Amino acid sequence: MPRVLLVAQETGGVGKSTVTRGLAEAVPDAPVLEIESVHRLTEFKAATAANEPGSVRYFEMRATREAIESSGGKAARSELDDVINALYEVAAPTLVDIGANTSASLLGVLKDEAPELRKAGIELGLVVVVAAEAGSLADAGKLLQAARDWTGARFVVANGVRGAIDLTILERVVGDAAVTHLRAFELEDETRGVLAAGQLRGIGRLDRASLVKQTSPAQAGRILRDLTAFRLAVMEAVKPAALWLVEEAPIPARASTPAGGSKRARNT
Amino acid sequence: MPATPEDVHARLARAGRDAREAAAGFERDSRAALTRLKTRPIHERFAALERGAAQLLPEHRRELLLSIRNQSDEAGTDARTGPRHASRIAVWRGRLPYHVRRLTRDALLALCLMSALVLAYRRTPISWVEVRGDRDVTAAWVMPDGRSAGDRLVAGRAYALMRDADGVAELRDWRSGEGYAATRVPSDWLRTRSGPSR
Repeated sequence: MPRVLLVAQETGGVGKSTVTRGLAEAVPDAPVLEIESVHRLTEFKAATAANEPGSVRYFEMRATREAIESSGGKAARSELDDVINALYEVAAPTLVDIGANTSASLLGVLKDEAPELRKAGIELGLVVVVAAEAGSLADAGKLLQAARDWTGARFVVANGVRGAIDLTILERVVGDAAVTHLRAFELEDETRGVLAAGQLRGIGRLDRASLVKQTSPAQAGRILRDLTAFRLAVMEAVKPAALWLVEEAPIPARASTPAGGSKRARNT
Repeated sequence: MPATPEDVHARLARAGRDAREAAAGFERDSRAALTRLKTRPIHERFAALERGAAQLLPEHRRELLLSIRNQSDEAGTDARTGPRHASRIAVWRGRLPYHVRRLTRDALLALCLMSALVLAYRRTPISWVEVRGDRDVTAAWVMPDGRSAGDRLVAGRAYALMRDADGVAELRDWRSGEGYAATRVPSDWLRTRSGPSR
């Protein structure tokens, strides 16, 4: 029974793509479905077929926020048909990177589709990324609440990229979701440049000699240290979700048990 | 073949190893750069810090800064005159204005004492002498004011020998109520006697 991890957040700029990339580093063979207005996961090979290991299928979202709101979400839903169809094709642990302004719409659709997907042997999990901004915390609460009844597990990655997160508010928002923290990294401009060129996948392939050619001997060691530390931190932050993704899914009889006990157990 | 939890753990362990190796490599680079910089003059070390010394770990940056500070302190100690006690002469000179009266008095007293000693020495006879033989000899006695005070040395009488140089003896003889009369005679006319009276 393949599992699908949805990486979601309505608010942009909180590190959602970074979390998706961290999951892809922990589970490199997992196919990725990217649902975004802009194709961001360009470092992965483009999928030529469904369930191609380590590939990305990009689903462009053309609907604007205004269009979604004026149509009551219908404008986005019509664009999500391809995504829903792709989910029914899932045959291996899969990641779904949901862009800002699309998460609520997709989760609303999946609420109806989840029982059918479960019958098809596909279990859904949710990773919500939050930052210190009140908007992302509020959205996280809504998304987690909306997915509570039809997801097998829920995870929250609290990203310190925008500053320290109020733990009291976070605790109130996350409910029974498993929470991990990703500390903020102050990366130099050169380091950011190297990261932007290869993202987390490229870090594993970096070597000092090539970095020396790109930058300088003095900088190369520092860049390598900072980026490998960043990659490790992201992978540690997504570790519970990655482990859930690749775990042997329960047999269908158990999968149909009411939400609560078994999910809580997995979330601890 | 689908990924397993063991695969995830292995990937994380590998990422951890990569991070540790990169950190250790940078620590080595930083240590080597620090060692190089510490052999450089202070101004070069300072310039490296001004540029941010990004090739150094924060603790190595601190170590470099301390090396500059310590060396600066040593140089400063060499260049500066350390606190010393004033010499006794300087102290004495410094106090001089406050002791002028006492010192002047002491100096005058010392001068008087020295003068008195010199005078006493000069006025003290070397020995007692008398005329060699038993006959009086001619000698022109003169008082301090230039007056004549006699014309002979009486045989057998004691005279005070004040000075005896170049074969000439200077004699003195007390004249009651007048003072000392003095004369000069050849030394070989005289002989020493033990005292003014036999």
